[in-house]
Amino acid sequence: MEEVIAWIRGKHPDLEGEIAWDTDLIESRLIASVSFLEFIALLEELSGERIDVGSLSVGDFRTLDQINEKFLTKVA
Amino acid sequence: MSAVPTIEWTDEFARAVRRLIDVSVDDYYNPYRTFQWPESIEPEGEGLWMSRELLSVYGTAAEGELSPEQLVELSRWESVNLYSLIAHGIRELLIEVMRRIHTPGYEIPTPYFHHFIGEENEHMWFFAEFCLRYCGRIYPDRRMVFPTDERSPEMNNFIVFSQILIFEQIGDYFNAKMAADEQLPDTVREVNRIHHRDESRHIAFGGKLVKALFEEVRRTHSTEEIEEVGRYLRGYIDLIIQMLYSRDAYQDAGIADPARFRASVMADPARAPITARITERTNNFYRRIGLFH
Repeated sequence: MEEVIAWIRGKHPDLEGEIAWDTDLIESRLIASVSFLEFIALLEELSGERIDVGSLSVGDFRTLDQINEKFLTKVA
Repeated sequence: MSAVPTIEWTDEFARAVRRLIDVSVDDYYNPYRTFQWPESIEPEGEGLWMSRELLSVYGTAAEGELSPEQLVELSRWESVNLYSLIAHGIRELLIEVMRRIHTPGYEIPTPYFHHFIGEENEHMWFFAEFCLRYCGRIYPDRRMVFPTDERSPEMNNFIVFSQILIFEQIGDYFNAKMAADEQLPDTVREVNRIHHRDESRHIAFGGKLVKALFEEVRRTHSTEEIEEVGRYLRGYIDLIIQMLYSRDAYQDAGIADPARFRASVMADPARAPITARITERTNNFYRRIGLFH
């Protein structure tokens, strides 16, 4: 997950403090529609698997917890 | 609802709408009878399906590592990617125009919306037909729209029609070049030529519409809000460019580790000046209306 947090921080260099695992990343605009494709590419690189975006919903990307469980648990 | 009852359409805009309607009527064609659709795509020149300089690997170190056969396969699947993007983009823009046609505030552009909707539906059909007929598939749309803070109707309309214009201008860069490329198969050139011809009208209309909507935004929003939307639209342009680098196309072209390949091609310094050329028309437009500096 370090890479995911680093990516979010890279997009928001002014962000202060930790990003809690239950922070709503969509509401807080830490992940946006315009950077979504880039974010998916990062998750695919980390997981080594193609992500079928059509089968997913916004809820799958809402918190670090959900992202970790959905895409990265198998890798860990 | 996104209606803009206050919008001030100029006489010049109204005249342009009437002129564009006349051209649409004069140029009208039956797309279902226009194309020959041969059994298969016969190779010309190097056998590419897409102009060499439009391939995502053009100018990169990775390009030199691909065999001529791999380049042909990549050109085939990158053309599927381009046409799939166009089909998905048209679906999204049709939804937005449908939301506004015959609603208060849109009385002046509405007569042209009818032509726009009809023509875009036909474009979506022939690009999808090409993909399905010759390659057996359309790539899925990999975007996701997140709910965001409520924006004002003026800002929302400006963003929606800007997204349509940006998408059309970038797509047209590819269509115009492929229509003129004598090294490409006739059917490839034909779908691109017809689309380029119709899109020149849609882009002319979109430019005037977006300019009028931006005047409303300027009148009703702060400098900070305008700067924010400028950053947002720059992000949208980047998103469209990123979509031209398709993991699916690399995979279907038989490239090993397509995710890593995509990342390396996108990061290749040779791509920056090419991206600048692809987006030049769009950036110039937004500089001209005063959004980009």
